[in-house]
Amino acid sequence: MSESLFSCRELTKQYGGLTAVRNVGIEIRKGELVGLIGPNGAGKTTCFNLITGADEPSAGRIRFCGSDVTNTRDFRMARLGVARTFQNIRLWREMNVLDNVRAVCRGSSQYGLLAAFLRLPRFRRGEREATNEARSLLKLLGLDGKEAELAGDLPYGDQRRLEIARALALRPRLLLLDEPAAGMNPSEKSDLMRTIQAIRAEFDLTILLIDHDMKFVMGICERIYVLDHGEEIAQGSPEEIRRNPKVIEAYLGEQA
Amino acid sequence: MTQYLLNGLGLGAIYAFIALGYTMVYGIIRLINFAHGEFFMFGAYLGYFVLRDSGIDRLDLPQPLPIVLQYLAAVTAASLGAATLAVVTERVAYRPVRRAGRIAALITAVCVSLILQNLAVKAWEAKTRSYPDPRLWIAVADLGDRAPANLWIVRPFRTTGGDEIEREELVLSEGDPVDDAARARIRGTPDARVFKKITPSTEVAQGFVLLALVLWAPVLWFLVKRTRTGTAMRAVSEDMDAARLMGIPIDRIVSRTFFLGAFVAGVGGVGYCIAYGQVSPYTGFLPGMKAFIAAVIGGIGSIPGAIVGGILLGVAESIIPHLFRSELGWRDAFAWKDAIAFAFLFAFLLFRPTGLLGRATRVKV
Amino acid sequence: MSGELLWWLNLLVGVGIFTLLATSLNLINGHAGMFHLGHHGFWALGAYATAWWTIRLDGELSGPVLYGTSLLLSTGVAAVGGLAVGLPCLRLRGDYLAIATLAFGEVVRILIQNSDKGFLGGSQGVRLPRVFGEFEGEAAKLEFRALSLALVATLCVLAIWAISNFIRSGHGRRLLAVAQDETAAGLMGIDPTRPRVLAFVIGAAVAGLAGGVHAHFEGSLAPQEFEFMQTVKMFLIVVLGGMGSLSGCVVGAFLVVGTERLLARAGGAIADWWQVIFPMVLAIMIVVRPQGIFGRRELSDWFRALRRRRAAP
Repeated sequence: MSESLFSCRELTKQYGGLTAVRNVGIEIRKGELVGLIGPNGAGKTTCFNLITGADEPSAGRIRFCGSDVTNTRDFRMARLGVARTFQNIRLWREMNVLDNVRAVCRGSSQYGLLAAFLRLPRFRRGEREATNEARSLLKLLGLDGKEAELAGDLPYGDQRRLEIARALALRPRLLLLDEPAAGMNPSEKSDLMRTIQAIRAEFDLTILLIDHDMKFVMGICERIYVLDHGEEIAQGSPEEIRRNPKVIEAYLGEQA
Repeated sequence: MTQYLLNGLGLGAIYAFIALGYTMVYGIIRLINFAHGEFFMFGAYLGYFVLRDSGIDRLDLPQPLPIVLQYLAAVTAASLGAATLAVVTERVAYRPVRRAGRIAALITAVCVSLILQNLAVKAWEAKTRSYPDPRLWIAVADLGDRAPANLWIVRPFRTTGGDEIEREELVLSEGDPVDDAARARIRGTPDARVFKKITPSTEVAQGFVLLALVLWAPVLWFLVKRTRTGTAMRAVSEDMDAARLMGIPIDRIVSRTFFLGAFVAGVGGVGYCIAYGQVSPYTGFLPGMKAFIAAVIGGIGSIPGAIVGGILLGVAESIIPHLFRSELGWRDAFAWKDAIAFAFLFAFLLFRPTGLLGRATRVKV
Repeated sequence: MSGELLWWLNLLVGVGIFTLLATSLNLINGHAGMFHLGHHGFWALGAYATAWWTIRLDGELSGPVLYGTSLLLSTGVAAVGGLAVGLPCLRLRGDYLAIATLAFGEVVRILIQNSDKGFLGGSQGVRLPRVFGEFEGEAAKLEFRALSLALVATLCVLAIWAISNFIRSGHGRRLLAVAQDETAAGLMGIDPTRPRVLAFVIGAAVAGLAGGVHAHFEGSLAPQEFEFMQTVKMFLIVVLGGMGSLSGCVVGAFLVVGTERLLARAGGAIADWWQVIFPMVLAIMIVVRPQGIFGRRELSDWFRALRRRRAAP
C-alpha cells in the first residue's frame, strides 16, 4: 500500500472578488499518474501554481512527503522535489538547449565562485556531472542532436519536450505537466504517452498532468480529478469519469 | 519657521508643475521622459528672451501693467515653447521607439535629454544667464524733486564689432535732486523716460507659482475628468490596446498628453528661473530630477500624486535643513539639501515604490 | 614623434579602462538584465578609495605594495557598494531600478563634492602622489604610460577571462535563467536573489578596479568627471558591441573612446558636436540594431561561422 506523496485539502484561491479555486482536495500516492481535467477556466493551472508555490493559497493545506508545505514558495518547493512544465512554455529562449537543462542540474551548483572564475578542478567535476546528466536527459527525450541550438529556435514539439527534460533535471519526486500535448498531432501524442510512461518508470516518478485532450488523458492516467468553475466535481478512474453525468454536463455545457 | 514653510510651499508648487509632466507621460506610455527637464529648460530660455528683448515693459500703459504683461508673455512663451518642443520630440524620437521595448525607449529618452542639453549649450553657451530684472518705466513729468531710487536710462550703442546694442546708464542715484540737467539728459534718450529696476524676490515669485497651482489644479481636474481628451488619456493609460480597439486615436492622445505635461512644466520651469534669477542649459537636470522624485513619491502615473509629491518635497527641502540647522546646530545643513530628495526616493522605492497615491500592478504566471 | 606615441599610449590606456567599465556594466545590464544607470558611482567609489589610501600611506609603503593594496581597496570598496545597491534594489524592476541606480550614481558624486576638503578634496578634486616616483622628462613619461598600458591590458584580459568563465559556469547559467524568465527560474529551484546580487557585486568590483587604475594613471580626480554622461558612454560601448557579448565591449571601447579622442584632437566643428552626436548614435543604434555588432555572440563564434561558411559554399 503506497503512502500518500502529496495531498491538498480545501485548497482555495481568491483574486479580489474572483474565486479561482474553491475547496479542492487532491491526493496522490507515490508512483501514480493522475490527471486533472476540466473545461477552460476551471482553475487547473491555478492549482498548479498553488501546488508549486508560485502563488499563495487563500485557504487550505498542502502536504508533500509528510510535511506541511502550504506556505512554501517557489524555489524552495522546487528543491523539495516538485517540478513542472508550463502551459505557455517558459523556456530560457536565449540559452541553448543544453544550458537550459544544465542550469537546473545539481552538478552546476556544486562549486563556488572562485572555482568558477579560475576553472578549478571542482568546477570541472561539477560541469562534467551536469553535462552528462543533461545529455542523458536530452537523449531520453529525443533531443540529443540539438544541444547547441537556442531554445527559442526549436520547433514547438521539441520545446515541450525540452521543458520536460529541464523539469527532470531537478530530480523531482512529483512532476506536474501542464498541457504537455498541446499543439501536437496524434502521432506525436502517442510518442509523448510512451515517453511519459518511460520516464515514470525510469525515475520512479509520481505525475500529475493537465490536458484538454480526453483521449490522451484517459489513455495514460490511472485516476482523474475533474474541476469546473474552481470546484471539484468528480474523481475516479477513467471509466468512472467518462460515465459521470456531472462531468458530461460540465463539458457539454461548455460546448453549448 | 513659517517663512520656511511658505518658501517650501512655493518651491513645492514649482516641483508640482514639473512633476505633472512626468506623471502624465508615464501614466500614458510607461516611459520616464528623461528629456522632460530639457523641455522646460527650453521654455525657460524663451521666457528669458521675452523678458530681455520683447520690450513689452516699455508700453505706455499705467504701471504696473507693462511689467505684468511682460511676465505673462514670458510665462506663456515658456509654456508654449516647452509644449511645442515636447510634441515635436515625441513625434520624432519617441513614437518610432514605442514598439521597441521599454529599455530601448528609456535609453532613447536619456539620449534625447543629452542631445537637447548639448544643443542648448551650442545655441546659448554653457554659462548661466541672469534673468533680467523687470524695468518699471517712469515718465520725466512724474518724477518729483528727488530720485525715489536708482534711476537708469537706455542709450543705443555701437560696439566695435558693428552691432547695435542698448546700454544702461545710471542717470540719478537714490536721493539725488532731479535737476534740469538730469531732465535734459533723460529727454535726450530715444525713450525719453527713466526706469528703476525691480528685483523679484524669490518668495514673491514662488508665491505666484503657488497661486498658479491653486488656479490650475481645478482646470486640470476638469480637463482630465470631464473632457473627451482627458477621458481618452485615462483610458489609454489603463489599457492601451483596449483603447485602440475602442477607436481612440492613440497617437493623437499621446501627443496631447505630451503637450499638456510640458505646458504645465513650462510654467514651473520659468517660475523656478524667475525665483532663482538664472538659467543655464543644465537648469533642467537637477530640478527635473527632483520633480521626478516628487512624482515617484506621489505615485507615478497619478496626477493628484504629482501635486502632493511636489508640495511634500518642496516643504521637506525647505524645512528639514532649517530644522537641522536651528535645532541640531548643523551649520552646513543647507548644502546638503539636494540629498533630501534622494533620501526620500530611496525610502519610497524600498518601502512603497508605488508612491503615496499610486496603484500596484500584478504579475501573472 | 614621441609626443605622438604618448598620445596613442594615453588613448590605449583609456580604451582599457573603459573596456573594464563596459564589461562590468554589461554583466549587470546585458547578462543579468538589470537596468543599471549608476555605474559611474562604482567607478567613483573605486577611484576615490584608491586616492584616499594612496595619499594616506604615501611614504609608508613601498611603491608596488602601495599600488597593489590601493587597487585591492578600490575593488573591495566598490564591491561593498555593489552589495549596498544590489540588495535593496532586488525588488525593483525596469524603470524603478533605473531611477534608483541613477540616483545612486548622482548621490556618490554629490557626497564627494560636498565632502570635507581634507578628506576627499571636495569639489576641487584631489591629487594623488605618484607611487613610483615623479616622472621627469619624455623618456620617463613614455615609460610610465607603457607600464600603465601593460598593467591595464593585463587586468582587462584577466577580468574578461574571469567574467567569461563566470558566464559559462553554473553561476552564469543561473544568472541568465533568472534574467530571461525569473518565474520559471524560481520554479526550477533557482533562488532569484543570489545571482542578481552577485552580478551587482562583481560588476561593481571590476568598475572599482578600473577606478583605481584610472586614479593612479591620471594622477588627479575631480568629482565632476564622475557624472552620468560617463555611464551613457559605457552604455554606448556596450550597445555598439552587443549587450551580452564580451568581445563586443572591447571593440566598442576602441570605437567610442578612439573616436572621442581623435575628434577632440582634430578639433574643429565636428569635435564640438560630439556631445550631441554620440547620444544620437546610441539612440539610433538602440532602435535600428539593438543587438549591436555581435549581439550575444563572441568574436570566436563569428570566426567559427566564417569558417563554416567558407567550408560549405
